[in-house]
Amino acid sequence: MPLNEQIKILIIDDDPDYRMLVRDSIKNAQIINEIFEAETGEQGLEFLNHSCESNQSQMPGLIYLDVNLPGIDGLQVLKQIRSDARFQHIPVVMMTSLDEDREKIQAAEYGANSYTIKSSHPEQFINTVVTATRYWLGVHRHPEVRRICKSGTGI
Amino acid sequence: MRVSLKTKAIIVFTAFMVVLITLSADTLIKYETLRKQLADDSLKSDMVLELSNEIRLLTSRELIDTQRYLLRLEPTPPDELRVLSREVYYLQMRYLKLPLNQEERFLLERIRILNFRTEEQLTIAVYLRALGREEEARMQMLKTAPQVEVLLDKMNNLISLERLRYGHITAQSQATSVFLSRRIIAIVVVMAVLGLGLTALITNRVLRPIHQLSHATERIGKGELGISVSTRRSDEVGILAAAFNRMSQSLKKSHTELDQRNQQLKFALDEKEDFLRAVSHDLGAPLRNISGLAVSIEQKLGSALTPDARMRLDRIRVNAERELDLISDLLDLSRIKRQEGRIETVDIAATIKSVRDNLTFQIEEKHIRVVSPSDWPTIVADRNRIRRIFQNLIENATKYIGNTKNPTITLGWDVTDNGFQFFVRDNGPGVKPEDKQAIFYVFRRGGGVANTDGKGIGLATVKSIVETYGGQIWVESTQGAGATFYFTLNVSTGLETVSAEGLSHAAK
Repeated sequence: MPLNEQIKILIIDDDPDYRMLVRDSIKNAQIINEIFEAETGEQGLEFLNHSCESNQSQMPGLIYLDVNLPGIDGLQVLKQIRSDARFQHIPVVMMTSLDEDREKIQAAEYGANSYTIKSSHPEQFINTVVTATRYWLGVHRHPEVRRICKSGTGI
Repeated sequence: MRVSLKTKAIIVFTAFMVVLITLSADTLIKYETLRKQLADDSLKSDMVLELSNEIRLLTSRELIDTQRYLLRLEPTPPDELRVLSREVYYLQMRYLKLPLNQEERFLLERIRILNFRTEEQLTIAVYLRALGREEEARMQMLKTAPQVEVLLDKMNNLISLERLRYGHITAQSQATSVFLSRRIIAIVVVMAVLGLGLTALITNRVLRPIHQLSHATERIGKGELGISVSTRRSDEVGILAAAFNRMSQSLKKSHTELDQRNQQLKFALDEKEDFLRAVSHDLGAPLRNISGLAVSIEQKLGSALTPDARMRLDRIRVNAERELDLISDLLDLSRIKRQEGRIETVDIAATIKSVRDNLTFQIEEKHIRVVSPSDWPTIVADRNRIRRIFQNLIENATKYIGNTKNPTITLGWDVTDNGFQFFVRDNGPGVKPEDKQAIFYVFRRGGGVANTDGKGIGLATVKSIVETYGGQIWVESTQGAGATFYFTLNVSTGLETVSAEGLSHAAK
């Protein structure tokens, strides 16, 4: 699959060191255009809103979302993303430090595409990036999706 | 007024017995008296009748013979007649000895006098005959004949009188039996009435409260609390009812207290759980970063660093990892111990595949070869806990496999009497003899290979789970030639269709 398209990635996590490590591990992947970071759920949602309103589509092709966030909880952020027609197509990977079935099931119910346990081997992120890229190229380039985003209509 | 039930019962029973005994005694006495009188009368009647008949017979004979003599039919000498008369006289004397009433006595006296006169005349007749004055004797006999007739007549009177008395005796005996039957009915009625009274007393005063109490007890048993029974009475039943009420209240109170305590405990447990999660999350995040940062330094500046510096960076990583593991294991242990498991059919093959997938990174990083049989049993157990066992053991194997050439992890299983036995084998440095027991206990670490110190509490968790299923876990190891962790589980197979073999397993 030709990876000549490029995607943007949004990382929403309250731990700056961890964000840096993730950034380090995926930065070298050629498919990545830009990496955005947000500290809280509110910041992340604001970024999404903003990216949709601008002329060129600045929409991220992948979101890494921490489950434990100060302020709005990670799952609530996910819910809001999924309930907004403008960005409900963006693949979201939940990140957590606990390997618990209950959390995984909840995340799936709220509409997460994938789930990863935070570890000190962030190299695993590469795999998710590749998978998400394939998905994104299939969906995001769809003209209908572009139109919805431009018009700004949500559900 | 405090009258105990016992006293009441005694009073009623005593009254009952007194009435019964009095009635019976009275009946018996009266009956005895009547019966005795009846016996006497009967006896006398019999004797009287007997005598009367004898006398009459003789008197008839006397009469007939006299008439015959008079009609010259037979020459019956007057002496014989006189003998008859005398006999009659003797009989009469005997008669007189019986207890007679006035009427009878009077009649008998008249008869005796007549008889005496007759006898006198007969004597005269006898003398006259002896003197040869036949005709005069005959004249004399003429005189006696009507007297004997009268005598006979009077005897008949007497006999009728006796007959009457006999009838009177029959009437009397009938009256006696009527009297007796009436008395018996009276006694039966009295007994019935008193019996009913006693039953009513028992039912009302004893059985009904007992029924009430047992009903109330049942309701308490079903979960209704704080029930009380009415206690208007002050006797034994009242005391019991009061005690019951106190007990019921006390039960309700302790139940409520227990409920509250349970709530508090549950709350505390939940709090602890939340606390552990929060702490482990907060404790773990910086450690992850430390490890990650050390690795990233190594990656970025590795070439510019001395081997010593690189080694130290790696040590930072290892230490951080170790602490992360410890936190994770601690959380696991607490969760496993607390969680109520859900029993289901667990496909071991799927479990092991899942665990291997989870550890893909570690396995591939160290180029570990995993050997596993193609078929695994299905068992009835809690899926998560079984998974935890394999996860811990295989992860440990990957961690402590060291620098062996051709690192290999071998998995296997076998059937036992009570369930199954599994093993996880690695060809790493092995476990020291002195550590073979200690490694299964919390916070006692085995010594270890240079790179890896301590095995945390992952094995303690596994031991805990294995023991829940009635099994055992142990390690066999030769230093430098690897270690094999064996564990047994007393579980049944989850197969639906049961073969003969399966039966013996499922039966356990």
